[in-house]
Amino acid sequence: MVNKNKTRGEGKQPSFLSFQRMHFKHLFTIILALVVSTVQLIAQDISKYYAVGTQEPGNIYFIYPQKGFKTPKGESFIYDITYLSPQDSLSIKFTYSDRDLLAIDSLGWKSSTLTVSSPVKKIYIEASSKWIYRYEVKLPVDAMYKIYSNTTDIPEINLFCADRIISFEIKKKNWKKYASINHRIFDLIHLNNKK
Amino acid sequence: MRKVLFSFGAAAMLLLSSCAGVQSPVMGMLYTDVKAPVTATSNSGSSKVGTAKAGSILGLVATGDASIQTAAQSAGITKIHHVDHHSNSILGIISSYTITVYGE
Repeated sequence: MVNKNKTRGEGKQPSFLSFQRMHFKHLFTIILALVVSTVQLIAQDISKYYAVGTQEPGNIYFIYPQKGFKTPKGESFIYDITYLSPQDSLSIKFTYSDRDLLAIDSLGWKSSTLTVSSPVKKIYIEASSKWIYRYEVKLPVDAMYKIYSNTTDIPEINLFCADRIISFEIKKKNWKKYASINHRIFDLIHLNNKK
Repeated sequence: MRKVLFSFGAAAMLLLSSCAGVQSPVMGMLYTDVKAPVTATSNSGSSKVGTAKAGSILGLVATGDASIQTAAQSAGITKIHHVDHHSNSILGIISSYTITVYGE
């Protein structure tokens, strides 16, 4: 029979510090396991990504702000989507920060098969360390539904300004996540719009 | 040994779960994902929706602006119809509080 105590350094009792370290290791493992299992349980639930309310003449759907699109310099394009059914267009409200003063004209989504663009409407411009632009654009629902239907065809967002075009790209992993979420939400909208 | 470990873990869980608490009508120690009302007005119709968010990590760092004004401003809302909030917390480690404003 093997004496376990002898394997830990010739019968010496473990110090209080090593005893504590061991406990923290176990505790960390327990917390990590709980976090992972909780996140996995909620991973497939899309209800936290949107809100819906009844509003004449149908429902008002709101997809919470999404990130992921960035310029090559790392400037983020954050947008949310509002859709009042059964209208043909939805409203995308977006925030973009830039060091330069911009005169933004329109915004477009471009995938390998589809291009949509529309003039923007200003909500506000704020001055911080950078200029913060908050604008709104209305785009056709069907076109956006098609764009989100393809998780492999990664689109590009183009912001058309008076003197330049600012392009935003998204990583494949992020697009796959957001496209599948939004596609399911648009499926839901489509089903509810059916008579 | 196991008893000590178990009580250690349970105590830590209790402590950690309350360290980044988030305002909610009902609370879950392990997980909270609750939507609830804040207020409603007599204004009719809502075609715009705006949000504002604040978050906390471990109850040590909390940042954000979850004010109704910021949420309304983000969507250009001048007439508020109603306001909801969404509380989210995972094990009390990461918590977020989102205000959603509906209006025109």
